[in-house]
Amino acid sequence: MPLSLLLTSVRAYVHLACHGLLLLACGCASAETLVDVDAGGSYQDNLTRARHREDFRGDAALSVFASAGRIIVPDGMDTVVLSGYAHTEAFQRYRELDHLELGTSVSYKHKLALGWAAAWISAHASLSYDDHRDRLRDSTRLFGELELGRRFRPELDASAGVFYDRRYDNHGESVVPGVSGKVFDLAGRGAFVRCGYELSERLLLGSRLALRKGDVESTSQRDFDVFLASTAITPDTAFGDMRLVAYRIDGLTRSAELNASWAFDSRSSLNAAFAYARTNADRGVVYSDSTSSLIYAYRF
Amino acid sequence: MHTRRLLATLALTTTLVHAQLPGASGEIQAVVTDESSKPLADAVVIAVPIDGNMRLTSRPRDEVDQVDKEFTPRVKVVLVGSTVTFPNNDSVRHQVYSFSPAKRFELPLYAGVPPEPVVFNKPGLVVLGCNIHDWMVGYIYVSESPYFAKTGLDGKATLPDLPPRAYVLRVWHPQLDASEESTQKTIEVVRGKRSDAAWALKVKLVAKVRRAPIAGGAGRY
Repeated sequence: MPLSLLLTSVRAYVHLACHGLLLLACGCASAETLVDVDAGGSYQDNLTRARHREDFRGDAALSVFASAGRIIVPDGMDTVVLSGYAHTEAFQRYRELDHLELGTSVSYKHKLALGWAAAWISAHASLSYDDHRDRLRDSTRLFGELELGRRFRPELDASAGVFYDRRYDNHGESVVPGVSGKVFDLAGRGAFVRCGYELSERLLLGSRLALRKGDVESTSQRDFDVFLASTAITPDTAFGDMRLVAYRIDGLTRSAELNASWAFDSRSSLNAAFAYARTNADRGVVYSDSTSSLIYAYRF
Repeated sequence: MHTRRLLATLALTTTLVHAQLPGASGEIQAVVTDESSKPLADAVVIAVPIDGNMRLTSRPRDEVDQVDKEFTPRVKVVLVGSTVTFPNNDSVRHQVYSFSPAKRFELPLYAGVPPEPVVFNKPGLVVLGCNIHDWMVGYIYVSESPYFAKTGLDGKATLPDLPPRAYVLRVWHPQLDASEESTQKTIEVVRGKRSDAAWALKVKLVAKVRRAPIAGGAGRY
């Protein structure tokens, strides 16, 4: 994306985020300010989400996530969190994947009774713009989630929910007559369960299982099965290999994540996570990827 | 179960040393540690006269603050019948509650000082929480006896101005891994003298809702 256009987009989103937050937070004298910063690194073994090992591209990335917002508590049972956030990743080898995501989010949580053990329901929505070095991946993202949870003991909580994600792509060019080129125009919906257990005063263990049905993007060399299973195709130059083509495929993705969080104090923690995902699509197309990460989190 | 009780009982040690004090009353110097001799702060020491003759004084107003989204002090001891206010010194509102049998109450979401204090008219332990900040936990120990004290960081507490007579002493601590009754011991307070009592308590980890952040901005509210 040209720099001027990028700056215009970024400014527009920042303005939108700031105005939205100011409007919604005004008049809430008791609102609390929330500022979080995360920084760390990750390694993903199959960034291309390729089917065959020769098309796998793994890489490490440094990431920074920052969010600022307001927590509004209109009454004892309801909490609204309005925030703006920025997330950036810089890759070691595949620099075209470097990106900056700017977004706003709103979360609403309702407790069904008094006390820490009360069940709760929550709704979360976010809207962001994700700008990559590689123009093909530039997109607007929309995410929504409904969740029901409960803390069973002070050290044990669990929740389950459903989500919807949407990614809008206006860049992919069609190279196959009659087949869309917008491979990053993706939509999916799914469900998840998660739980957390405090092993000690400092160590929190967590897990999350999810099932998602919807579009996924896969980059590989020309593959007949993938071609037949795909709903969009376009050349992908982000990995510096002109043989690679990006495909959009409809599939069922199962994912599992294990994480551990070590609290240094009430404001900071070190978080390690391992996530594995496996997608099954039509015509026997299967691929998997895993991500390991280590992130330091600080809350001001 | 019997073994555990026996171990807990064996863990209790008592030493009685009498030192000269001026005046017509005596005092008890209590020392509370865990089994590895580490001083235990916030242990509540209660002395109940065996003859039941208690000089019930006026019941002052007490306070349990909320500072930096924590109860301050974390452990408060009050005499039965006392009133306690819960001033909120944070810039955010709190909703203090307790489900404890000794006192069930709820202070609807508030900032500043609530208009009405809470009366604690039944002896026992009252566990406090905040409905907005689940990690907040505090304890009010409502004593049936006016003779009580709370240990400091050094694990020591002094019960001064005790009329000379025999007392049953007991200890409570948030991490106590035994019944309060199992900590009981009898001690004779002598006029003008100091009596020492010591406990080595078996303690357990008490789980608390975590406050620290989790990557991704999660982990709170």
